[in-house]
Amino acid sequence: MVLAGQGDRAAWQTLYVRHRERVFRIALRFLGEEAGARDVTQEVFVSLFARARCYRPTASFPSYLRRVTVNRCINARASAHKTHRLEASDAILSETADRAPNPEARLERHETAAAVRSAIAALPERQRMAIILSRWEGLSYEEIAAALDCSISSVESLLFRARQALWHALFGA
Amino acid sequence: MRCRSAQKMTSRRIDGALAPIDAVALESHLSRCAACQLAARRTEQAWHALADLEEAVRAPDDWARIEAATEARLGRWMPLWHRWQLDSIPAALAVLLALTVGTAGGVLLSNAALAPRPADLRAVPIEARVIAETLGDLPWGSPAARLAVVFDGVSRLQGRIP
Repeated sequence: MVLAGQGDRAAWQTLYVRHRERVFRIALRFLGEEAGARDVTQEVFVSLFARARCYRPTASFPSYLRRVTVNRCINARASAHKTHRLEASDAILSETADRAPNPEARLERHETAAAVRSAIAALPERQRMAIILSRWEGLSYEEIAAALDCSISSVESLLFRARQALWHALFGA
Repeated sequence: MRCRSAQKMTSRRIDGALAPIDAVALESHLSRCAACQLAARRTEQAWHALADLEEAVRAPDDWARIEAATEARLGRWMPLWHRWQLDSIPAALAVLLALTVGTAGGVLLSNAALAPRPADLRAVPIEARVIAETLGDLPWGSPAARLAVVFDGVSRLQGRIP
């Protein structure tokens, strides 16, 4: 990151290759559509490289990158709400359904996955991000708190309420 | 333990963030509270349902697009005041040089103008001449020279010299 701040283009590309999967994965699960996830990923890295000269390594770089990604995702969601560009795409998120043994199981699995995705998409933004960071990124409460810029007790509350909301969305009457 | 606390502890237990002593207290409460048992089962059920989304995610390679966007951002991002500063550095240097030359020139010229001309020395009053003879030549700017100027001024006031 220090080399990137000095204008080293090779350092830029190394950073991108090393961290793009993590950024894209969080953005895709949060926004639920590939085009938005690619836009967020681009914006994260462009803003990173544009401000590389000002970067000071006070925390771990993955933690810093995660926080930037979370902020960009939430901002993208807010602007998408304003422009009504919410579009669902199952192109990337359907691999598990395709691995089912027979057509009936495949269909059931696909429907369940779609239901879960809808339930997650219906969560408030911070609850949704807390679930994503906990479930698929495997972060601790401290790491989630750093990414969301909140306290650990707030993270506990977010996860607790998110799980209640998920249950009601998936199984409630 | 209250039910609200027990249900929150159930959530923390899923994340492996429950201290052993709290886990014991939670189990004790769940063994006595059917409502919290049901809530705990629901929380775990919702959590495990997320396993239906255990798909692999592959990020596309957008490096060319990102590099181009970064170059464009770096080229236009410089804020107006910073751009003004950078553009005005040559002008500022020219102004500074002019001020320096002008100030130095002005000092030199004023010193030359204020320095006593040889003809003026003939009108030096007796007091100054005494000082000069006592102390020797009066170097311009020396305390003796300044004293001579003072006497000169006093003498003019008294009308002894025109």
